[in-house]
Amino acid sequence: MSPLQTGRPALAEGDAVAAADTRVSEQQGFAAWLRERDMQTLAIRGAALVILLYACVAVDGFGTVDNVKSLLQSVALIGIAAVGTAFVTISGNYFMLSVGATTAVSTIVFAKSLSLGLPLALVVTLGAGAVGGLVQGAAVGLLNTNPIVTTIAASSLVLGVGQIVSGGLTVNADSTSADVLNNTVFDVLPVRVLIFFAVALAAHALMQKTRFGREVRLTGSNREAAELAGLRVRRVIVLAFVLAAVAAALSGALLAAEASQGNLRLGATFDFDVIAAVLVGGVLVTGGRGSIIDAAFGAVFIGMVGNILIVSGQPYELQLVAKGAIVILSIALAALASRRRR
Amino acid sequence: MNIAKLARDNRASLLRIALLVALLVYFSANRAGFLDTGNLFSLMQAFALLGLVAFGLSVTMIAGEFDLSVGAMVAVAGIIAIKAGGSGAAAGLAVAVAFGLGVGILNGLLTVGLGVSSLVVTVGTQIMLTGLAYGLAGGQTVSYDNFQVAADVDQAILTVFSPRSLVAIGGGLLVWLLLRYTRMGRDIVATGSSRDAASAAGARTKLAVVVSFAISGTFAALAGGLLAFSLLSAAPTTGGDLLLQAVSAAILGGIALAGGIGGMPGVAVGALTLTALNNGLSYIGASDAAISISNGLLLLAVVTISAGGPARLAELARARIRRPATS
Repeated sequence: MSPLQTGRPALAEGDAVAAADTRVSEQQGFAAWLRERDMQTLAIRGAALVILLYACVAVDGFGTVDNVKSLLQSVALIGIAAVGTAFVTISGNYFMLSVGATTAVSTIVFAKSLSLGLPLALVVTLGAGAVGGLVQGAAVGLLNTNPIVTTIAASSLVLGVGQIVSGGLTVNADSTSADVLNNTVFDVLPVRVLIFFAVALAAHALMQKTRFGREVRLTGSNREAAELAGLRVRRVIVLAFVLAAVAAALSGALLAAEASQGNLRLGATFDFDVIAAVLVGGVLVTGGRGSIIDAAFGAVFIGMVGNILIVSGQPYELQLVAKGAIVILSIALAALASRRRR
Repeated sequence: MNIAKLARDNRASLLRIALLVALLVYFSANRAGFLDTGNLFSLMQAFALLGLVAFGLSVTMIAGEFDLSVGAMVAVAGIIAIKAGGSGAAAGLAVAVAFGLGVGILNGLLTVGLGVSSLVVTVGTQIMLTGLAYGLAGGQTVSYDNFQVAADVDQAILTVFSPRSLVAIGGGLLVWLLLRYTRMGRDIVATGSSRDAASAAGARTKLAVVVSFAISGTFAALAGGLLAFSLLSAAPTTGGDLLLQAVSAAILGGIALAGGIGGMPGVAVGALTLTALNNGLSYIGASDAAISISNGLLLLAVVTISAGGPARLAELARARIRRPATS
């Protein structure tokens, strides 16, 4: 058999595949949609659906309106912080290990400044968060410091400042002026959940539709190439950290409004939960891949598993073990998926 | 060899030692008694915890990886040592150390097996270890009534040392010997310097990563178990800020985040510097907030300098001056 002969059928086969490709994309069908998804995000959403159905049937007290409300309530704050952190992760800078500290200190800043009225208190809290994010972003983006170590250092700095501001005490707040944040719209949708949805959608649009979003993704895929191509890499990284810190601060404000106090112990588990949400959602930890909505889904998934364990009377520690296991499982899945892509 | 050349070649080491000496001088000038044997003993007791954890973490960093789970390991190992030490402290410590070794190997295997960043793997194990710590302790502080073992691990040797601090020093020494004189040590350094090149040259890169995590897990567990014996108690929240301090000690000690660079003598000086800073600040009556902030600032400064921050800052400033109108 001559090489020419073997070449021919292969070519024809390739043509057929190409033709099939255009047909599918013309149809915009389920298969095309399926192919564009990552195995991991699909697996997570599939698993979420299965667990959801299982819990509705098998776990007493899960499928009630009250429980769904409390589930969404608990997911909302982690979700807001996770959506912000996703910018840092997608930009190729892993995580912000100062998310928990930022949230905790923001509860104090919010509780302290609530006497100025709700709008001003929000401005002060988010502004303080932005300053923290700016410092970390400047270190990582302009001075090329390691993001993990930088944010570990920032966490210590932020907590130290928080201790000075609070005097190490719980700051009680008269939260009547912040009641609007604790309300429920039409008795079903808590305001906090609406804020989560709004933040997630706005962030998703920012990521998908704007030049900044594309630059974040390209910076995460290959920072040097992005720099050579003339992208505003430094500005992008600084802004990603600012967004993440502002989101964490917003979570803190909502947390303080709920608890009517500011306390450095509030939000202590946020670091874990947010990282878990981002990873489980299918945002690639080395950057460049994943979308904001993935992180939001990850938060819902983590929150749902936690909620089921609580409702079925399991202890807190089992939740942590389950979260850790889910994180490791999902990175294993991501690793397998990326091997398949290659 | 003349002294000027020796000083030039070891400039970074000399700077590190100068910083440590400067801190010691500053604190003893501020409050008498800082360098008394009593306080030197408590400095070494703090070093017993931080030094051992930092030595282990440094090995993973030299191999080009990172073990985020050391803080949680210290907490859970302390609880295990007490829980399993009902019949005898030695048995409890053995169980805790075996657990640390096992989790370390698991971290290493997951990292090389999945081919993913060890940051992510160890974030996962950190969360699980914290859960395990809460589970074992029932969310409370676990106490131990073996007063003899507390007296034993903390008895003074040569006035400033104790068995605990000697274990930390011994651990550092062992790793120093491993890295310097064994094939595995050279493999670890080569793996951190350039994994592909090391692999092509026949270094056992995967084994090197697993061994480095095994050392890190074992050292953190040993430190946690001994700490629990010394305090006669252990809590799931122990070791919260230990990760920060261990990273600081490592980087301050000249370990490069990119891997392949640095050694145990530097880490020992780094850990002593951190210990002196924290002990000194509380000795002169600084608040927790001041200690927290100074730790954060120190780490931020060190990581900025080691990333070539000042040079980069100058470069950015020059670029701005050269083209003021365009940007």
